[in-house]
Amino acid sequence: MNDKRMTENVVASLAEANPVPAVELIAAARSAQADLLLGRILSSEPYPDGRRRAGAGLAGTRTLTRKIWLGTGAATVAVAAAIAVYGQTAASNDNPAASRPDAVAGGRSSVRPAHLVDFSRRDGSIVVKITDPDAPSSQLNAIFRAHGLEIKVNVIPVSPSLAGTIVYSDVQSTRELRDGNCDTGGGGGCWVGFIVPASFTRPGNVTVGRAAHPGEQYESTASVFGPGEALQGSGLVGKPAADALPVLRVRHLTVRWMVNGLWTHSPATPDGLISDGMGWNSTTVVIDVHVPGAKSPGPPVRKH
Amino acid sequence: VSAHHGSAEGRETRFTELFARSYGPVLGYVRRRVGTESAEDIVAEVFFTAWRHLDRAPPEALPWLYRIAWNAIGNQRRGQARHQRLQQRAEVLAPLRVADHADEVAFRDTLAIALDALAEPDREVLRLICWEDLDPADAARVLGCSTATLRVRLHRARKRLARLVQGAEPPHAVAVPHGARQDPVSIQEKR
Repeated sequence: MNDKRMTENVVASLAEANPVPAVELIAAARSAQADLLLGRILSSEPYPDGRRRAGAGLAGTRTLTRKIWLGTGAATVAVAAAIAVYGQTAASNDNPAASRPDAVAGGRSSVRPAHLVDFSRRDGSIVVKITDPDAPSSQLNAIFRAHGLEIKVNVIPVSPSLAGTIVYSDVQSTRELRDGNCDTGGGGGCWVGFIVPASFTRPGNVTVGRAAHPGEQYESTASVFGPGEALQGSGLVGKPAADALPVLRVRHLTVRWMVNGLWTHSPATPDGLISDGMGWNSTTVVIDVHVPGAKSPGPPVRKH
Repeated sequence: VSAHHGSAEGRETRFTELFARSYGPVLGYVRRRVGTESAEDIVAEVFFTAWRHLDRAPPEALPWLYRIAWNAIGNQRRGQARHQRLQQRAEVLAPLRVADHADEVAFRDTLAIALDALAEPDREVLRLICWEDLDPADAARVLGCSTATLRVRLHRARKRLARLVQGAEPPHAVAVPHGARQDPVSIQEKR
């Protein structure tokens, strides 16, 4: 065998002798270990020199978000509890990777724990609370995967009283976890988490509300007259539409009118009584007006 | 504010995609060099570094990540005693010695010993091509040299490995490229 042939054979043999074949690594990126690492990285300082993210406004937005969220009373307890018990839950969790964060993070002190979702155990079930709805969906998904739950989290901008709550879920075999000290604009306790059996493995989707940015249209909204919403306590329901104008001025809100269920493009204030309304974005509200005797009956008048 | 928020989310999305594409290859790269036990910490260090320096990531990020990993491995080895390095190397090479047939066992044993006897720069260029399946241009990016230089290094490394397997060249006579030490740090410092 000549030298060239020998060299080719040896190199081919070396390639075949790969001690970690690529096929062994195909599933690695979807492992719980990888998910946990991704969650920790995304919640760590994103720049090497400690400078803030591009746009200090983001931090301001988050502060505002948190104030609104806490202002509803929605998840004050959940946030405090989640931060306080994170260390305990992480350490006592069944996920072995979660119980040794330093090993995954390389023991670096700059890595802060991700307390975006609180997992705790209760009577053979897992109690899940999403404690930071400002986190990007990818990060929340990664954390759920790290805990063995194939639950996709979608985060959408919502009206103030819904921020920090679950607005949609198709997860089977779950019970809703509600905060009885909190009301959304739609009434009832705030849906802040869910409870699944410890053996739960079914896939599902959950949509969580986050506070909208100024001017950002809400994708889910509650009655604008409900607790925590823009016209709470205004006493306008059942009053003539014209009565809303001074209130809207004081609260720096613009309005879109819906008369008997139909949009009106007229700039004039419609006749009729205010029956309900919803937030459109942080500066615009939609007010339903019911005109008695008109063909379309419109929505019934709500009492607040 | 929305634009800023979009930028931050865009960064996170970009990193998440990079992570999903690269975690497996980077894990493989590290395990092939330091064994399973230390790989987890080094992989974490690689991706934390990548997250903090994401703005520097090229569109084809794998060679860039391998280079970060190579630096991380060099940093780790600097702090270790020689016997630990040799022990790690033995762990990495051990799978090479496992085969079904006696002649294959013997050949792979020879191959493992020959690979171990190569200088680290030679070994690395062969691993990048044979195990990481990089083309010469990407391997050159990992090592911080030109593609032409990489080709020369590869040619020489292949020949040295073959000679060692044939027993034509005793381990102590392996040539070290000019200016390189038998330590990964030497490559790192040249970049």
